[in-house]
Amino acid sequence: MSTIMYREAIAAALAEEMRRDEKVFVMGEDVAITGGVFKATKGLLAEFGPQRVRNTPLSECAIAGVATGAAMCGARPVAEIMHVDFIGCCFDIVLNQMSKMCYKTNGQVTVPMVLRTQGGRGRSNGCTQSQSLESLFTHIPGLKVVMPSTPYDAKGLLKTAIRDNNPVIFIEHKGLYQTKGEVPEEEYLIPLGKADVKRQGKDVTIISYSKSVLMALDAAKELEAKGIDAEVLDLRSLVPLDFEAITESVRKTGRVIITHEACERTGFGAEVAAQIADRLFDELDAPILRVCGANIPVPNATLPEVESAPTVERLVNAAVCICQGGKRNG
Amino acid sequence: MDYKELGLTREDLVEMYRMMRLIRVFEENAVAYFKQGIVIGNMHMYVGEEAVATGFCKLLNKEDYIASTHRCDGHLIAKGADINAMMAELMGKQNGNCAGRAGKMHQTAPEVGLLSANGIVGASETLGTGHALYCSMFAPERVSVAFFGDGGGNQGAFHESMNLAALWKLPVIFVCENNHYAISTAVETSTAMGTFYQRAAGYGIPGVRVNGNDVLEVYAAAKEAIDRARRGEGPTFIECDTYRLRGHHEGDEQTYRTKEEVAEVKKNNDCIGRMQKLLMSELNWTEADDEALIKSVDDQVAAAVEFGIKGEPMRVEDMMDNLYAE
Amino acid sequence: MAELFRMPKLGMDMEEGIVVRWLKAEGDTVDKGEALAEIETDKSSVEVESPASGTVLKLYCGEDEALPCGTPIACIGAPGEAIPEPTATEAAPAATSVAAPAVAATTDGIFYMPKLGMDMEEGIITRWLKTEGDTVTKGEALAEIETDKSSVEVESPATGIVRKLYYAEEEALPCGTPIAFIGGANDPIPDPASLTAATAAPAAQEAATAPAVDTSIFFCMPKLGMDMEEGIVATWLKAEGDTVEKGEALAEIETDKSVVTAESNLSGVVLKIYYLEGEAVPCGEPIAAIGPAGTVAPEKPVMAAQPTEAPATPAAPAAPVQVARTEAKTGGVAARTPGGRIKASPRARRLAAEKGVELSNLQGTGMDDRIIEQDVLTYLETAANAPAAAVRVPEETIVPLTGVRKVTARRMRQSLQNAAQTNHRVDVDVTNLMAFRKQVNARLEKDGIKVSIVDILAMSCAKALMENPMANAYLMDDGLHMHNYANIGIACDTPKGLMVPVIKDVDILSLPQLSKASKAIINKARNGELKPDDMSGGTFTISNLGMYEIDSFTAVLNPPETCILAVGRIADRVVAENGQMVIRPMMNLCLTYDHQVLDGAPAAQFLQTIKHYIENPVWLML
Repeated sequence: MSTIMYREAIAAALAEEMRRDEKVFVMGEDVAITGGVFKATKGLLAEFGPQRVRNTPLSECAIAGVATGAAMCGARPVAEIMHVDFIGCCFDIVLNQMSKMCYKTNGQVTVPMVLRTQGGRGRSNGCTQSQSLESLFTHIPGLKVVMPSTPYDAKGLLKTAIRDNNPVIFIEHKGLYQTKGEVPEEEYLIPLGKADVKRQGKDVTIISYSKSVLMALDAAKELEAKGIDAEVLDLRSLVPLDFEAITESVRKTGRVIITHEACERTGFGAEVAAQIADRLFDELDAPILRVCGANIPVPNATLPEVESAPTVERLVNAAVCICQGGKRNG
Repeated sequence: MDYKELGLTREDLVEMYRMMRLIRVFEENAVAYFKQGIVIGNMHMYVGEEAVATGFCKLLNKEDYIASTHRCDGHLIAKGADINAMMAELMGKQNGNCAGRAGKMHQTAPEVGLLSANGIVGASETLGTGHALYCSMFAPERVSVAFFGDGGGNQGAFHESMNLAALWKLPVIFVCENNHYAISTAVETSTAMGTFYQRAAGYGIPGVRVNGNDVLEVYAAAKEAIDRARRGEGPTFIECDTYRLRGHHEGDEQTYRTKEEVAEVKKNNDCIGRMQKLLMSELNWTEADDEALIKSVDDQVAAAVEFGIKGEPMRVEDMMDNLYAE
Repeated sequence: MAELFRMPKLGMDMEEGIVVRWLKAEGDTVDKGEALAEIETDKSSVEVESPASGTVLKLYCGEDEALPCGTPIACIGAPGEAIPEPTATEAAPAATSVAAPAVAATTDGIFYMPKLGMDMEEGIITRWLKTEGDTVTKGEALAEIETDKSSVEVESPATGIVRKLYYAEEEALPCGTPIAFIGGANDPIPDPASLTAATAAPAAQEAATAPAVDTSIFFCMPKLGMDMEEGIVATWLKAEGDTVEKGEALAEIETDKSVVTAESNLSGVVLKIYYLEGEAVPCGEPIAAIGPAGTVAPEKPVMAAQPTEAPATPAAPAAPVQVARTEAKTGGVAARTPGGRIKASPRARRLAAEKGVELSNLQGTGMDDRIIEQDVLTYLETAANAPAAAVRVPEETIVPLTGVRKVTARRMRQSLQNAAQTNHRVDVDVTNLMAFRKQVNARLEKDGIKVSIVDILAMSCAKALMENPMANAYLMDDGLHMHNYANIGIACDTPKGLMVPVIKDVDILSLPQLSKASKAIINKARNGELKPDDMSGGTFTISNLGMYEIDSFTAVLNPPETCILAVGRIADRVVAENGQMVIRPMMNLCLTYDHQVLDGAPAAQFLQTIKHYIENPVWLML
């Protein structure tokens, strides 16, 4: 075991897979000399050279489209879109090309690529560089969507994503890059579609992913003092979704809170809530609550930026409400 | 254009002549069956533009890639795709090249390097560049040709792709099939310069404009560009001045142009007529030769139609399959 | 040969097109592929090319006419050639004939119009390939059938002699129609009218909407009275496969008023019974099919003219449905939603249902005072610890309303909804009545007649009704229907439930006549033999519960009557008479009346009249 940063885990996964398979290469804005603005590709240029660590112009459409075109031929590109907010510049490729290729060709042409990007707030980057847009991707059939919360998960999931024969949208969080965690020395993979119980509990299930998992764990600590034993379930991948893990946890607790940074309205929490209401109705001992981002663009100033996202306080309040009675937001 | 200077034989010319005929007869049949409701979908025909696909694909190997558009029949056929599976796909049948789920605009023929046609105008530019990136990294003997129209030439993807391809010296040939109309919008009213080929200069790559209805001119330009790409010298941009003889889609009223304009091209600058004339005037091509060729093309297409009709329609039970690869 | 040019189908969803411009006139020559017309669809306008070279012999439509795809719009041929009559279906794309040869469905040598595609509803025999008397082998082409999509040769389903072609060429016929008979030289030729549509042809099964159903083979739920809306098949007297003669008893039908034997309207074999015993069926609905042996009966038809409400009664007396009911328990009061529903989590509800806990007495501790699982668990623990408070799970059975019960329920509800019911009560001294009855019966004993109290009551009421005609009226939409007769219904408890047989013309009957009539009809009621007519036409009803020791009660009006008299028991009571306490046999009468018709005073007057007759029965002789 060694303790490394989330961004080091990403770089390590890329390096291992590039060593393993010469068809794997990296392309994106500033990925080469600087190792990316978040340093998640640091060190790759030195080891693999400019042919496999390809710095691109600021052309998201070309980055996504060219990577898709190469993947269709059998390459395994890991293309980087610097901010998920920039996806608008190449959305046709995501929406109509990489996602539909396998289906429309009846499996004859596949797109074994990873579109790495990052989102989330916390750096006062304002409304076009702080968003959480995973729902845009989970709504498109044919994509897989992965959002790891820890260095361990990031490495194991990225390696699997690279080996997957489908387009995987791999969304990191700008607030996680410097977080640290233990990662084994030896190689490991984490399958997509396997949620992880980050904390065992029996009173309430807090479902989350990406950086919100850390907040959920903080909230669980506070809840413990109030006599509430919260379970924190990290989905890790949204598509495929590990509903089995959700079922197991909800059967145990009967209470669910879903928390994510993305806007609450039609966010991924709505999907999870709907599936639980549909399939686990009789297991519920309380309404399903969401603690999610406000339905506004992310404000730039520090406090509003924080307060427009889920907070530990709001999460604790919600858990107390459904575990110990009382009125919500009371 | 002297065919001998291009190193072409009579057999080569007949082959290209037959190819253009095959594309046209295939599409005319597709339209006929579309009018009966047997072929389904949104029909964008390539009629009139056959010389472009024919001229390029004559020079390509099976392993080379092409990226195509919604007007894809010509590209598929010229590249050697199975026309039986094409016709079946147009009919939504299980024996179609995508088992009925792709349809006219989204066909595929990976065995001959056409990975997917596209309903999104401009997508072929980035995807074709991506194919070229693959060639340059993993299969240097191959090249990629990205076909798009004058409509696609005005997408942002065009510039991003040209720039990146030029920057990385990718073995891709950008082929703008300027058929003069993006649906109803004439190129003069959509394109600041009126033509496209000059844009190549902005990316530091060769750019030429040829008569896209003269298969020999197309061939000549294609040869130079493909050779250049194979030598690893990077992309070329070729604007083929061609003309679509049918509407944008079947059912297009075509109020944006006169019948005289269409008739004029049909009469004096149809790629098939041009080649027929050349064969007859210079290469002892007889009426009997012509009839025999036409018959063989008709028979080939009739067999494709029969193949398609005999196929079973795509089943609802199968519609969930292959969303993901294993 | 002249070729028809039809309105083309220019797209999957094009259904019709408009000829906006003819580009050729009649008499013009046209080359194949040359533009012939400009056709406008809802999407675009297109020039359509001629399918043939020749002379435009005929333009079947003018410009700007919208025509369905497939409609012939022009005819092209050689000059002088005969111009064909246009038929309305689309030219067959030659290519579809590649499809596998179609085989017609058959039953016993009958060749039916085949169903050649999911949406084919009818076909046209474009050509008979055999004539009557020809021999044909199974699989040999017999006819050319044109659908709206294609033209197909259809093969014979049997080997034999083509004995009969039921239809000429060019006739459009629904799928499943018998079109030919193939059999031996001496086989009788079946009458196509007696053949039902082939069940092999799915189109024929869509009898619900297809007008082609042969209704002449149905035995329908009879309408046995003016206000009968549905009947229950009480008993089938014949089974499927039995032979039945016209006029023979086929089923017993239970109406809201009685059980009636229904006779078959047809002779033949019972081909199909559509409803089981106990099922309620709207009047006019086919309940059985009767026809020649071997005929295939259609699936259960629904007659378009009938109201669409489905017969909802279960097939057999339904098994009692058990619903859990939990025992009341003192404790808290559950929080409720604004709609009145108890606030409880799904998990709590599930556990409560499993354990039989009544939620309304639990105090919720969850969010918004919702009852949660823990509340139910706590309750169960407490209950388990409390010795006497063992949780019993009583049961309640639900028996679906059927027959008389259902009808009574509906009529009583209607009665209360439609009339302004109120009542007056009065105690009546029956000393004289009892004495009168005794005297009369002593005289009538030799004739075997025994006048009952109710008979005398009925006679009293009839007299009173004649004197108070408003009490004898019906309130109808068009006004009051006054009657010059008094038909008095006697409410009877019968094994089937409440029945009200009616004694007619009570006002003109003598007491012995009345007594005989009432005895006869009450016996019929008790034996379940009442006919609908026995229960119709009443203008007034008497309901007597004296035999059950009821002192006094209120009856519900029997619409459209204005009054009903509820009669209590006769009992000795202490009454004041001339300042003395005396014991008298007394009886309470309660008159329920419709205040829409009668005001309080006239109603009181009417009741008083009755009282006077009862207390002075000798007046009945006047």
